[in-house]
Amino acid sequence: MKEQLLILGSLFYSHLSLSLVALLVGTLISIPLGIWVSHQKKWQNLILGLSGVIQTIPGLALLAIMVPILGTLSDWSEANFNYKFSSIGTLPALLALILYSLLPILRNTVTGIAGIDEDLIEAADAVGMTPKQKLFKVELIMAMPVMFAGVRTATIWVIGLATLATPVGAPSLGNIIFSGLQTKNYPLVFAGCIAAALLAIFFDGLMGLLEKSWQKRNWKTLKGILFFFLLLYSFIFYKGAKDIFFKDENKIIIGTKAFTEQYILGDILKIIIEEETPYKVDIRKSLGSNLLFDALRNDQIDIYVTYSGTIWSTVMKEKGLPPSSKALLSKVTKYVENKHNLKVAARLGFENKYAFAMTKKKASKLGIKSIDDLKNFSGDLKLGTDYVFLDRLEWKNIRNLYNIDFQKKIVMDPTLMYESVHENQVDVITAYTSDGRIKKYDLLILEDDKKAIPPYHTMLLLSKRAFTKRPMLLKELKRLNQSISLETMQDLNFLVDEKGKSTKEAAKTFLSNLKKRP
Amino acid sequence: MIELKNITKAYGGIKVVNSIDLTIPEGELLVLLGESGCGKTTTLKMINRLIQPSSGEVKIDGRNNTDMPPYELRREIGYCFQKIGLFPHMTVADNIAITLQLLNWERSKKKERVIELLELTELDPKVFYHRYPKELSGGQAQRVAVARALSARPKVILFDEPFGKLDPLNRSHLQKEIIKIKEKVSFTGVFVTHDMMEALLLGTRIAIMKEGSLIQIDTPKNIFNSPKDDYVASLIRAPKEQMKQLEATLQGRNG
Repeated sequence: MKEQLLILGSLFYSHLSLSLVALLVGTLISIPLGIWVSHQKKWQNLILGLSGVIQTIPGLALLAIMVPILGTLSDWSEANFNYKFSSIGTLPALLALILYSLLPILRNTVTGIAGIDEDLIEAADAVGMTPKQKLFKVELIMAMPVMFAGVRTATIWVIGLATLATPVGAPSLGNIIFSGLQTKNYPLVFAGCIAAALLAIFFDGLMGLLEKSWQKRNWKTLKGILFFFLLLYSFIFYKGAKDIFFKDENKIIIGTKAFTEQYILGDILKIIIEEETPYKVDIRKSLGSNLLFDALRNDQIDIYVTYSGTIWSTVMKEKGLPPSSKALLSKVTKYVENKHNLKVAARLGFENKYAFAMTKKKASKLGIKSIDDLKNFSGDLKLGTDYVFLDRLEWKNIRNLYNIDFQKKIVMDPTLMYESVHENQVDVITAYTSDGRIKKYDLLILEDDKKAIPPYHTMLLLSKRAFTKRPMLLKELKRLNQSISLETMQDLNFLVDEKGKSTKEAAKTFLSNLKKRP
Repeated sequence: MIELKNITKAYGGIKVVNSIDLTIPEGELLVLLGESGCGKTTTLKMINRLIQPSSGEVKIDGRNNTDMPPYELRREIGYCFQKIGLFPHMTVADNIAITLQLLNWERSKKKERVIELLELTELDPKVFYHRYPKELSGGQAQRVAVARALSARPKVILFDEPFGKLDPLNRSHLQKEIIKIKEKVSFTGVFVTHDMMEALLLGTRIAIMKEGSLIQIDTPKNIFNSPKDDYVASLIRAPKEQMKQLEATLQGRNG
């Protein structure tokens, strides 16, 4: 409990500092920009239009797209100036949040200034104000309430959106929301949402108070609030600078994707490393799946667990039918080790691949044993699947090789698939083979005779920095080679998904069993 | 002295002010009179460059009004307009002293001047000094605006229908006050109005404009007695007829 509170506290702080820095920079950009376009009518529509377009991009997509953009910029900067920067983590999150904060502030600055009584502008000119004096003595003061409203809107938006910074590698309250949703730990999800909402309400209220005290000329309150902000920002920048310039080089960073198995494996790795080596470990949970390989390649994370089929299809971008299990594994290993100087530290021993699954009852009633058998029912059955399967190579291969389709294909959150097939809402699901719920709901995995689905051997990848400069790491992690059977992994996932255990407890269960083995 | 030399303002080919020549000697209060849209306000605003003329030039005491930046010019010219335009976030005192502040007057001198001006415009400094514009009546606000126009002791003051929105009683008070102020403080003034009575009452001379051109310029007496054409005559006739009608009505009632 104490540890959980500590984690919540640190996520709360990350969330707060990320949002506040984004808001500060956003305000510093958009207020001058807004003032400028107020006096440049021909640019006004263009700038407001552009910031409006940014606003229409869904928050998650805006955050995610920052990563490849920054990656490209970083490569370019490395080629030209020999300077690389991080394309995951705080930087992309900050950029996206800054962009998101622009519109409300910009728009309100422009409307605020445009809405000023013309008589006051005429009076300001007539008494002999220079354009600058007019701006500071009249325009800005008159537009202030509307501009304030813009900053307050931006505050609420940014604090809310910051929960989506998790998948790009910036810790935020989104971490517990994402992992809580995956592991069905709803109190955790609730805690994350409440904390983010409280933050938003608090800062919105504080801004409201600031505005009110300004309107009422209550300088004491005004100074108090400004002083609070000054202290808060000083601390954030001081701590930020310290983290940047005095980076803890002994820290090992583990990245995980956003599902239960990955969280458990992350915790297992953390415990082993911290017990057996002098290194400290940070886990970056719930990172975007496409991000991890690049992050590892750029030494932004040190370790992550991936699957051979994922590398083969999404990183190597191979198309067509997969080669045999052995050939694919050696191709993938060669690719990561020779082409990218990474290291396959261990193959954990189980596969987590896509598989069509049905309840045993329905399968035997319909006489279905393999994917091939589905073609007799093509068009009668309903498929439940995750967000990505239908766009992946697996589905393309299956359709081509087996010539099957479904009456309806329902996309749903992966955590809901198993229950839906169990409750007959769908007939077939695209299960993950290591999921504990296959066993719980007594599902039948349909045979893939024609080998349309590539093998998904679980592999532990190490960054170049990690295996060259931390030899102890490789030595310890090698012990995990072939240490987790499919059944073991299913059981561990089951513990978390269905028994309400934490991922850490599952990890400890595994490790205590591992020690008992000879 | 203010000189307008062959001054024209055109918007998209339409001349709203058409080659006007006008000389206003020092100390005179010239009234620009005409119906709305005749170009009188445009003419006025070209003097302090709130509007740029399309051609022609304006000289004040022999200096071209484009010789200095517009804001410096305007600090030397008082301006008082119908919409009043007091800054709502400043006190009465700060509003009156705004030009003085722009000219970097000392604090004590500013305060002294503000009190002097409040007294001149018959506003009790003890009551009004710290008030905000929203706490003033229309007449009080316009007095503050007059005080603001007078603050930096300008040699030239421009009035753009300053009393147009006031009720008759307040209007007549303020008209009398302008006459009183004019006796105490020396300035050259241009006063725009469409009200012939106001023009006759205030003007040293009256310049009558129609469709952008100057029709007649003369003393109130001469305009009243010998209007140049039918248009001017019709402008004079209105107040005359009103007076007669009023007299007749009142007599009829008494009888």
